[in-house]
Amino acid sequence: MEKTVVRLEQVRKTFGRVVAVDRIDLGVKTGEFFAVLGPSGSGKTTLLRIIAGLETPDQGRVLIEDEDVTLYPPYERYTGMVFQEFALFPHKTVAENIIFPLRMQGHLKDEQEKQLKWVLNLIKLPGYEDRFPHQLSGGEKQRVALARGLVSRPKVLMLDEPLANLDRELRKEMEVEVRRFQLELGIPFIYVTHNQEEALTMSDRLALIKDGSLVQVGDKLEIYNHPKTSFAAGFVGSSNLFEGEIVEIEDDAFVMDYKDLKIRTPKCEGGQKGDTVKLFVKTEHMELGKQLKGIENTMEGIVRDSIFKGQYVDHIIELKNKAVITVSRNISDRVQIKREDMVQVGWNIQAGHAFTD
Amino acid sequence: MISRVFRNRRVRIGFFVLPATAYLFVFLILPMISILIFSFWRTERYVLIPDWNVHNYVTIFTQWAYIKFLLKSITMASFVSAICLLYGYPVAYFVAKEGGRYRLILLILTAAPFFTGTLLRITAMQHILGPIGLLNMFLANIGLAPIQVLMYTNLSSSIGFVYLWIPFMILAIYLSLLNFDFELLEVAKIYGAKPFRAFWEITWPLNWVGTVVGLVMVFIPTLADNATPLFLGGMFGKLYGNILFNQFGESGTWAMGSAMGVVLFLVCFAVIAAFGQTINLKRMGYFGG
Repeated sequence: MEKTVVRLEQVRKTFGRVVAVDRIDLGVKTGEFFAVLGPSGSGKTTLLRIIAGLETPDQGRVLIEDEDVTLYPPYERYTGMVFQEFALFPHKTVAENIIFPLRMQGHLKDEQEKQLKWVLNLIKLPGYEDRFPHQLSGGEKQRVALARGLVSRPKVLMLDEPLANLDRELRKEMEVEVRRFQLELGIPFIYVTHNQEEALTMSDRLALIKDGSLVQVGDKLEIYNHPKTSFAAGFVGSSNLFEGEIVEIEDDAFVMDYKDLKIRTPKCEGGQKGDTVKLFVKTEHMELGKQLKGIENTMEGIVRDSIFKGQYVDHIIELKNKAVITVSRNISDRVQIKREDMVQVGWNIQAGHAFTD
Repeated sequence: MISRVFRNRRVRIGFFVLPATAYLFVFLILPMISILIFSFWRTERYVLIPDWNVHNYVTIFTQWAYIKFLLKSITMASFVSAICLLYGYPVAYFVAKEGGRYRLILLILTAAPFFTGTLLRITAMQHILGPIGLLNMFLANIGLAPIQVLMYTNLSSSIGFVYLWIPFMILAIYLSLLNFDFELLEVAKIYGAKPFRAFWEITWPLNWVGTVVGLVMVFIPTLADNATPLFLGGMFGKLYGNILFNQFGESGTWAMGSAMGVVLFLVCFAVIAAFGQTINLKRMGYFGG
């Protein structure tokens, strides 16, 4: 059975009147890549700081390997942390930065040298020992920061938006690298980000956080395909949002009035006639064609623009009621669509997620 | 017309730099050159005589009295600098880290004694430490003996010095800490450094330049001062500065005084150079190079 390495029990932290983290329960298992995804100011950094021991929670317990470390100082927790701004020691060389945790933990010189060599190879920067941080590029700095985090094989490595300061190309590359380090070492990673793409690319499991509370925790595909709240549906993946009043209740669907368009949505708990319902449909779950057949929701629109995104194209469609939606289609899609074409868009009821919250 | 002339880089530099340069030349460089020249002359009956010789220097470096006072002053300045560092660092650290929006007020408060003159501050010290000062009066009133060691001794001089110059030390370290990223300490702690170790590994080296500035700003005025030992040091508390001052006063031996001044200058220069040797900008987190 997989062991839980980090466990939070009813952890709460306030700063003045602001509740940064509100009664959070969380478990991170051995060898797991766990992403915490949330908008900025949602309390995700505070959560990491509590695990690292930089903040003491007002309530609740923090357990690392079944030991209650709630009141332990950071230097007795054997964790690691990688920061958005790299936070390398500017007066120390790459080698000195990396072996810092080993020195602090009293490892012998030979051991330090051995580990340094190993980790420099891991991050593919051998020969960089004597450089200073300011002589490194952003990507190299973050590799060194990762090496410093991994060299002592901490019980858990926390990463606070580590790729946010890197450009897009580098970020893609580093996403793969970070994941590789994690798989190779089997150290649990807690990865905090506001970038859902990063979270979905790298993680095994995912926690969605909003206003200091967990919205949903689970397998990333589970959250992607079955969001439990409108926040989860709106934040993970890219969706079109339809909001309107329930005008009719059928056996297996609600009928919603969306700016004079009738849309059928899956039923959700507690929905009554007259309630406002929010329907999320992922852009890639929408069909597009000149003439759609056998699809439960179909409507007409005009192609206003087609944005090339690499493997897929985002078609911007203006519906008859002037609402604008996005439909993502694979680049290899046979349907030929030009700007200002009249088209049909549609999706099956079960492709959408409806909420009355 | 004027604006066209001003567009010339040399003219512009001259306009801004010349006044300061002229000022420094007339009021700093010229006097120093004249002192250097006088130091190789001799004085006879209060009159300087341009009779070139190195006798003054020979006297300073061979007669124990002069060497003794120089060594005493160096010891005093070292001691005072060390105490200022020890007391000043925590204060600067606290203000920079925890001061928040009160930082500036707190800092100005540490310099509050500067609102009065140096002499006044020293006399005030005398009124606290002296035989009929606040401290000993109080002790006498509750039936205790006065603290001898605080009455006109080197110790009371050093207390006065620390009191006088500690704002410089606090200011220098504070300014350095303002640019210090305290988050680095959190990083160090996560990676296993206990608080003092984190300080020693991170804060101390990254703020060493500011610390050196503070040390120099305390060391040099202490080395040259004559008022503090005069008021607080008593009979046996005389320092190099007092002896130097005497040359220009009572004894009227300007040439000797000038030579002593040159020696003082050289000692200061040597101290600054020695501290400069400890500064490796790369090792202090400065970019470039």
